Parts: sequence; structure tokens; C-alpha cells
Amino acid sequence: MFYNTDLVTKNYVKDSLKFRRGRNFISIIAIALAAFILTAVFSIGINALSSYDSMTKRFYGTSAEGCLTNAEEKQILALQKSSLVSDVGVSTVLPKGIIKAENDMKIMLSYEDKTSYSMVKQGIWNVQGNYPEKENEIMLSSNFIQAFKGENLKKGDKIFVTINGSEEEFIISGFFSSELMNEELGKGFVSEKYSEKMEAAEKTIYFNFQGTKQGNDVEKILEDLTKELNITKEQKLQAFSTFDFSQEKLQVLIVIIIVLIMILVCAYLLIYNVFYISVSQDVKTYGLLKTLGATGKQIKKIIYRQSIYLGSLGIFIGIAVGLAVSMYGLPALVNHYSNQDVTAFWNFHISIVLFSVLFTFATIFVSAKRPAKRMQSLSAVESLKYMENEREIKNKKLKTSKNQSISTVMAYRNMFSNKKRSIFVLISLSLGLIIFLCVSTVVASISPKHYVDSMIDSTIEISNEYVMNEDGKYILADALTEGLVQEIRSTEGVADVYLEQAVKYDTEDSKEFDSFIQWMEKEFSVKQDEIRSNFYAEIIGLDAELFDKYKGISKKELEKFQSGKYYYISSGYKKEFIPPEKVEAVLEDGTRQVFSFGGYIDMGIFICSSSDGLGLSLIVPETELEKIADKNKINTNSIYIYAKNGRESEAIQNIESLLSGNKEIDILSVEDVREDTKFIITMLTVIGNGFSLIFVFLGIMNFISLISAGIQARKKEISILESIGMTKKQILSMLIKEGIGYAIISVGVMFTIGLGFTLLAVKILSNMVGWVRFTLPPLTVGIVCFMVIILCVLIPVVMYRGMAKEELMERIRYE
Amino acid sequence: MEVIKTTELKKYYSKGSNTVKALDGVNFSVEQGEFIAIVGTSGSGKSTLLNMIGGLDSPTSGSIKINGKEIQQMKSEELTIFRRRNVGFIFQNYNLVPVLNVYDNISLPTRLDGNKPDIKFIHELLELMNMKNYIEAMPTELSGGQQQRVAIARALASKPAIILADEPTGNLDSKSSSDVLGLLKMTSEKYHQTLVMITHNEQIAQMADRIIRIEDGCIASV
Repeated sequence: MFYNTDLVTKNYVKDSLKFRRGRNFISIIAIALAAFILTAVFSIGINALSSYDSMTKRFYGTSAEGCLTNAEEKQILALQKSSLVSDVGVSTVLPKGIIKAENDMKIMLSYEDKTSYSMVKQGIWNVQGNYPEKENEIMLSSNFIQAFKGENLKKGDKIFVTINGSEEEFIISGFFSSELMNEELGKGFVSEKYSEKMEAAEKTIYFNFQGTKQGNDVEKILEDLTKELNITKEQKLQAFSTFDFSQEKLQVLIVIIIVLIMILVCAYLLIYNVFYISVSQDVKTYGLLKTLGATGKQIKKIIYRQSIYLGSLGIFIGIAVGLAVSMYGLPALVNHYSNQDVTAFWNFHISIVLFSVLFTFATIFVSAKRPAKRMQSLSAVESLKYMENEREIKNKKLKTSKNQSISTVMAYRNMFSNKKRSIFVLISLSLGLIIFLCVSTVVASISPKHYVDSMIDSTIEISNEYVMNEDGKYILADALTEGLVQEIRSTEGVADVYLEQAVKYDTEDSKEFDSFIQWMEKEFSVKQDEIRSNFYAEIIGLDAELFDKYKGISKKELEKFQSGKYYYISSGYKKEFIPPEKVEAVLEDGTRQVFSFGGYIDMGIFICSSSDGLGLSLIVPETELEKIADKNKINTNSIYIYAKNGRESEAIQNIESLLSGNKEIDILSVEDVREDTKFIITMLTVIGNGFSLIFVFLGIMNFISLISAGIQARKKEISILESIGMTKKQILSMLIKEGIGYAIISVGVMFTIGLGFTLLAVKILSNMVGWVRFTLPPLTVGIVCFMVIILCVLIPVVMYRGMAKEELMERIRYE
Repeated sequence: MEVIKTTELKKYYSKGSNTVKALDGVNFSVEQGEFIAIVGTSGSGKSTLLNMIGGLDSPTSGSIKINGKEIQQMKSEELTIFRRRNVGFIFQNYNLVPVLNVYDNISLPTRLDGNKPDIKFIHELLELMNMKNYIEAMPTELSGGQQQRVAIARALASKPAIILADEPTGNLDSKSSSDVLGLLKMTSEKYHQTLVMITHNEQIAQMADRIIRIEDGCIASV
């Protein structure tokens, strides 16, 4: 009768796993950590991207990539036939209605054809019921549900909507949530039959672009469409930003891919090192099994079975924790600090779990394969004699080390005697440190301070608000009077007050403006003829003292500005167009003044004109403005208020209460800007720093497993050194020097390769988001470097001390 | 002059409920310059005795005097320093440091003591061992016999008073064994060192000035 040999191997595996609990625990932790990283990073990454995509679609209310407003029938037909676009849908915008709820609420009505609705559906959420089919059906945005006191609307209820002065009765066919809804305004969809009955306010065509979505290609398509469709000035042809793969986004993608590769390599190295060591340490035992009659196949089965048991447990733990953190922990944290329900966009992706499982198992098998293969090729006796720490000392004569300290010589030789292991140790530690440096620096570079500094330099900024005039048009108010300025100057807590004043000017169109006009045409999709026929703007007078406040302005530049001979423009325009060398400004009273181009003002804020003209606004000193313009024609566009030291909140409170209720004035304070960014930047800081520290931990874990295995393997060798007279102190000195060597090299790699990569990442980010400024977090980096050096020293010391508790002769006899 | 003296030396190991008496009251002494062979069957306690004398193991009770100094009471660091200055140990498995070349292996004990190696003396030793051409070779490049020669040179390099050899020819073929033994005897005479060697080979034991037989942890005959 044949004994079930498979059962033998199974039982052996179970017994051996019980015997080596400590080592197995480390293996499981390593696998779990790697699986956790993969699951959490990819889950958060994919969900964040899709959330961004979803949120952008919600912002635009559609998944369409472009639109043409105020479209004519022939244009609709032309677009439907065009090879440049696809998925052409038409939204018929009807006159606004009013619903008399507890308060009168406006409702924007439209009929979406099938194609348009399929795109709109991706921009709305919480959809209940059906799209209206009957003439008297309506689908409402959900802000109407509780608009009526005492009752909640539901599907099938009647509702009255006043359109063009007449009241219409509708049956509610469904509800949906939309970005375009608040206490006063909502949205509604009506049926095709109803829309045919009504006179449409306008038709908007939504479409997707065919083929490539590169930024430049989209621009070309829009240009071609403009010509093809004969777009008028009442129409707007535009592309939405969701899919604009500009050059910067490609660079970001490359950086992200590199980081992802590093993450995969980190996870791979962690599992590989731990498993390789674990299997290698058992080769002697396998050799014993061989001498007792186990075949190579059976031993291979044992190795792989052990790997599966340990791997399964580790992967399960890692994926469970990874999903818990990425699907619940993180969104709950985000929801706690924000007013958005992020979990609405968060989805479980089975592909991530599958990827983590496959990648981790593949790594486990690869790491177990090599020692298993090696063991197969060894004879039984050779396996018994196998030293897991094979010193790959090349057949190379080493120069004698006559003048160096013996512990230094030994430390150096030990570090590089097993090159493969040394390289693994260094890569593991260095990768973890590089990722840490990159992520923590990026997080520090997008600090709230940078954002706030880019949005506002003063404590408070006051400007005129747009108000509706008697004709129903929105115009800029003129509320920043001299009297108000005086009141502000005398407010408690206010230190300095600067005015941004302006006067209208006209200029003759000349070739000098060609670059600017071309940019305007491209940027704002306005035809050149229209630009040239509205070619007026403002001369903005800036207090030189305000100009002076910004760093980087030399005395020479300041004097040049104050001379009044030069005009300046905001540095935001630097790469956009070539400014004209000279501008002859003609003021409303006929005064002419010539300005030469002086340069760019890098003030961290984008000074732009409040003029409705399409000309180029010029910045000159306030004193020059007062010289050339009639005082009565000078408008105050903005007031910049700086608070006294330590009295920022007081100043803000006083100014806000001074101007409360004044609808003609817009106030922006530094506290407002900080509040806006607090949430997102806090989240980025917490998540970013959290992840960066995890990678340091990964690298250190790798280091610990490799170094401790290395020292364990050198147990006999270290004991021999003791036997021939090396004191414990000398041994510790040697081990400490080895540790310091690894630490210095790894930290060195972090500050060279890591810093280079980090600089690149931040540069790419700052090209996209201007206010990002490279900021190395010195304290965090310093603490981590210190910690790494300490650990690199401590781990070998702790290992040796543990080992030294055993009797010397026992250690010498260790095989 | 007595260079080694043991008095009622005992080494007991507890294994569960059993007590193994590796040495059970060993009393013997060795004069300076003597060549002593310790023989006995497997498990008789001869390696334990040698390890005690070399300070590599600590006794359960009894005393060991090396050059008049009692070593069993010394602290670990003190003992290590004492050992590297006074004892040269030769192992059966050579136990060379794999990351150091021949020269560095030989000069290791001297350099551990913070002293500059006597290069002339090391070259003299290498000449004696017929290993002069292998001065920068790594241990993995040497045969067993060559490694053992290097181990002997290492043991002699710091000019210790005592050489302890634990079956130095145990892993060698007969020719190498004969060469190594010859070298050991010659160098101990040349440098006036006391040589204590463990062997289970009667022929080798006959080369010694005196044979000490150990059985069951006790001296059977001297």
C-alpha cells in the first residue's frame, strides 16, 4: 500500500510553520505591509482620480468635452456630420420658470435629447424616477423636495411652474441632484413634446472630440470648427478642462509613474528579501530531508506550500487593512473635515485587490524560487553544509590594510563582501528615503502659506462689486470713495492703506500689439476684429510703496518704475505674449502719453483691469497717473489694507463690520483665503506625510530584515573573532561602523538622486500651480535622517547583544 | 615553571533533569615549553578542558591559572584581552576570517591589541609555513592544509606563551597532517612556547613530551 506522500509534505509544512513562529511572524508582517501599501496607494489613487473626474463632470453638469452655445439648426446638422467631433447632443434651453414654494425659486428648464442626457447623467447624481416623456412631466433638482413648508415632494406629485407669465401644471417624474441648485435656484428637465410647444431661449450643442485629446490638438479642432461653423460673436465654442492633456499633465503623469514604480519596487524588495532569507535559512533542513529520501519535487512542494500559507495570511491582512483605510478610514476623515460626501465618489475596484494578490504572490514565488532551485542543484551533503550567507568573495587579491583600524577594515569588507545583499540593503533603504523626501517636500511646497501668499498679499483686499442697474445689466459699482478710504485709514488695527487706481485709455492699434491680440484671440476665443474694435483698457496706478513691498525688486528697478516713463504688466503674462515696446495712451480728455515697456511685476497677485475693453492694461506709478489724468476720471479699483502687527483679526473684524451690508463692495481677507484652503491642504499634509513615513518604515523594515539575517549568518564568524581576541567592544565598533556606512550611503543617495527627483517633481507641479514653491521640510527630513542613522547603528548592536548571551563555544560550533 | 595549572576543575551541564559532567575535578599542570597531548574518546571532555584553559568557556567550579593568573574570575573583556596576548588557538576547522586575506588574518590578533604587526616576524612565519606567495590570497582560495598553516601562523603571530590546538589535523589528509604537526612541533621549540594539543590519534600523541588521558571528565593517566 502506498502512503500518501502529499499528506506527508502537508503535515511537515504545518509542523515547520509552528516551529518557526518568530520568523514566520516577520514574513507575514512584511507581506501584509507590502499588500497594504499596494492596495491603499492604488485604491486611493484611482479613487482620487475618478473623484476628480466625477467632481469635474458635476461642476460642468455633463461629461461632454466641449459645447457650442446659441447654436443654429444648420450648425447642429454640420456638427453631427463633422469628423472632428462625436456624440453630438442638443440641449434645448427654455425660458426660466418660477416655482412659488415657501420662497419664490427660479428653475432653469431644458430638454436634453438622448445623447445630451446620456452625458448630463454623468454630471448629476442621486437620480430617482425617470426622464420626462409626457408633455406635462417634469424632472426636478432635489432642492425642490423640501421647498414647500410641511410637505416633501415626491414622484407623481403635481407642481406649478410659472413660465413666461403663465402657470403650467406638471407631474413630477423624478428628482436628481446637481451643482446648479441652491436655496433660490434649481434645475428641471422637461419632455421633448413640451419643448416643441415652447419657444426655446437657445440651443446648446454638447459633443466629444474625436481622436487625441492633447491640448494643442483640441485648440486646432476648435479653430477648424470656428471656421467650419461660422461662429458669431453671440456664440461661444469652448472645450471643457477635464481632458486637456497639456504638456504639464504629461510630465505629471511621468512623475506619478516613476513614483508608482518606486512603490512597486519597495514592496517587491520587502517581500523578496524577507522570503529569500527565510527559505535560505532552511536549506540545511531541506538537505537533511534529502538525505532521508525526500525528492527534489517534494521539497519544492514544501517550499511553495509554506510560501502559500504565509503569503495567503499576509495578503489577506494587508488587503483588509488597505481597503479599510482607503475605502472607509480616509473618506471618513475627509468627510469629517469637509462639507462634501467624498464617499459618493469612492468605489471598490476588484482589479486593485486582484493586482495586489497577484503581485504579492508573484514576488513570493520569485523570492522562494532561487534558493529552492539552488537547493535542488546541491547534493544532500552539500545542502547540509550550505551557509546561507554565502560570501561572494571574488577571486581577487585584496591589498593588505597596513595602516587602517582593524574594525574599519572589517566593517568595510563585511559591507561589500556579499555585493548582492549590500545592494539590496542600500536600494531598500534608499528607495524608502527617496519617496519620503519627494512626498514630504511636495506636501511642504503646497503649504497653505504659499497659497495664501499667492492669493492675497495684504490683510484685506476691497474691490467694487458687480451690481444690476435699472436696465437689468450688471455693471461695476463705484463704491470706493475718498470718504470710505479715510474711514478705512482711521479704523483700529489698520496700519497701511494702498490704492489701486485706474483711468481709461485708448490706443491706436499697431503691429506692436499683434502678439497680444493673437493671445487674446486664442485665450478668450474672441475674433481679432472684435478685439481691435474694442481696443481700450485701463492705466492702473500703483503706489510705489506697495510695489516696493515685494521681494526681489532692486533699488534700480524701483527707481525705473517711479520715473513714470515705463509701463509694466503682471508677471502672469510673461510667457503668454510679447508686450509692445511703446504704447501711446490716449485718455478720455485727449491727453496723450507714451510709455515704454519696463518689465513685469511679480507681485504674487494678478493685477488685472476692471475695464470691459479688450486692450492691454498698463501699470504705472500712482504719481504718474495723478499727473496725466483728470482727478475726476480716476477710479479706485481696489484698496489694499495692511494690519498692524499682531492685530490682523481685529483689523479684519473692524473693516468687515464697517462695510457690512454694503452690496457694492467685495471684501477678501487673508482669513477667508486660509479658511478656503485649510481643509484640502490639511488633508494633503496628513495623507502625504502619512504615506511618506510608511515608505521610510518600509525601507527600514527591509534594512532590519537584511541586516539581522546577515548578522545571524555571521554568528560563527563573529564568535571566531571573539575567540582569537576581538573584544565585545571591538565587535560592536565594527558592527556600528557597518551600520553607519549603510546609513551614510542611503542618506547620501536620498540627498543626491532623491533631491534631484524631488526638484523635478516640484518644478512640474509649480508649472501647473503657480503658487507651489520648493520647500524642503528641514525638521521632518532631519528627524528621519537622524532616526535612520540611529536605527542603522542600533539594529546590529541589538542583534549582537542578543547573540552574545549564548556561550561562545556554542556560537563557534553554530552551523 | 608552571605555565598552566588546573585545580579541581569542574564543568557540569544541565539538560532537563539530567546533569552532564563534562569535567569532574581535573587537576593537572603544564610546565613552560612542554608539548602536551590530550587524548581521550569522544565525549571524554578533552575539548571542554582545552576551551577552559583557553578562556573560551567558564568552569562550574575549580580554578585555572595561566602564568600564575587565575582566569576563571576575570570579566569577559579582561579575559578576551588576556587570551589574545597569552594564548594562540588553533581550531580543527581552521576558522579563518573569510573577508580578510592571509596577511590580515595573521596580523589580526596583534592589531586587535592595538599594536603594529611585526611585519618581519609575519614574513618569517609565512616563510616557515611555506605560504609566502599567498600573502594576499583569500581563505577561499586555499586548500585545507594551507588554511591550517595560516591558522598556525595566526596563532603564533602575537608570540603567545601558550598554543592550544584542538585536533589541528582532524580535517587534513595524511601528508598535510604530517606537515602541520612537524611545523607545530618545530615552532613551539623555536619560540619556546608551550603546546597543548588534543588528538585522538595515538601516533600523533606519541610525538608529545607528555600524554594526558581523559575519560569521563577525569584525568585517567598523565
